[in-house]
Amino acid sequence: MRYKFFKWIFPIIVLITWALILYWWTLGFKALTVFSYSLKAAGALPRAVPNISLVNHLGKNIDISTLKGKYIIVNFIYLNCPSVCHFVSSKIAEVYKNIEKSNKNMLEKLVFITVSFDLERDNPDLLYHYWLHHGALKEWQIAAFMPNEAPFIRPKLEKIGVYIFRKPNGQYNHTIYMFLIDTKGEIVNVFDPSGDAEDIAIDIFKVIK
Amino acid sequence: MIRFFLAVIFAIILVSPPIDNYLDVVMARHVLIQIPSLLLLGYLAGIKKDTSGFNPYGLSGLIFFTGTIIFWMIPRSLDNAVLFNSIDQIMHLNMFTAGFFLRSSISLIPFMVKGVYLIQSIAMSTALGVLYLNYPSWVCAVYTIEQQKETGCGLLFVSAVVFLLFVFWIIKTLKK
Repeated sequence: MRYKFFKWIFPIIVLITWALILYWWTLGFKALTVFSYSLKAAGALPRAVPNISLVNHLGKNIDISTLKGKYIIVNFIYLNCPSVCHFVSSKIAEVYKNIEKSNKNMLEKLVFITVSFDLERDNPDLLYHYWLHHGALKEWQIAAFMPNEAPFIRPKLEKIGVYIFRKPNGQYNHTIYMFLIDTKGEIVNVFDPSGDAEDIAIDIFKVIK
Repeated sequence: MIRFFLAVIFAIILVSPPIDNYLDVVMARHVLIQIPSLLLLGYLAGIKKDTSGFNPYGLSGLIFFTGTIIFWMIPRSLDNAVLFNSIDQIMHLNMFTAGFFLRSSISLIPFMVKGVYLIQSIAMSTALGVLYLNYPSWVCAVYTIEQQKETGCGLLFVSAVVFLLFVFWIIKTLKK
């Protein structure tokens, strides 16, 4: 009887060991990709946004911290992206237009900022053309990090929860999430742009009362 | 014994730098060629021994095999295997040993369990293929969207082939 029980101990140990390894590796079965892992590892919401100095598509310097008092939707791209970033930008334009159509007054409290992390190639001129291409929407700024931010880009992106990986051919794979920052300068929500634009707009409305 | 040594030698060749690098850089090669090959080589190196003393109904081997597959199919695991050589070697060893232990377990697994397990695996790999084909962004940081879609196609193809083989196996077993 004791022997019969003993032979089951080994498979139980194997099962528990694998379950624990998988639980640890995926932060409680919630982070399967490096992107979701970076997001979870950055910490629970709400969390503070590091100060980021940017130059926008009009060549104007903007600091995320000076925009306190407004809600900010920020996401990160690079203009030489072959596909995904343009899909995200199109989704942002959809969300913007959805908000404009449902509640135009909301746009007075809200600003969209799309930030390029590709300091080598993306300049204000290219950002301006990108902004024009995506509808030249008034409360949507396309920006890039200031040159003096170069050594701090990765650590700041990590704090936000953004993962970027530069491939040998110069292309990047990176987090595409959209981050909603409240009036106190804290990230309060994260959206996956692969979701429906209307649903994302509704979720934004829920936060911006 | 010869089979064991041949399997080990082929596994070492498969994970040696020029071939390993060649297989790692493209997602379809990594997922559809290298990983199954290591599992197969491990299986071929395995020994058909009675392990029922600590492996009742082949459960220990099956759980170890399943845990291995699940772990290395996680996109973050694949990314780290490509980025870090040490993790890549752990993956190779893990795959080989999973195949190795499966060999001594497979004869102990009851027919119904094998059948249900195979159906589940086919369903999972089909779902994964559909996800890779349709998801609009990267699941792995180190591979491109095009490679992801190719891998999705490949997974769907492999699922279809395995399903057909499964049907033949069921018919053959039932005829006995």
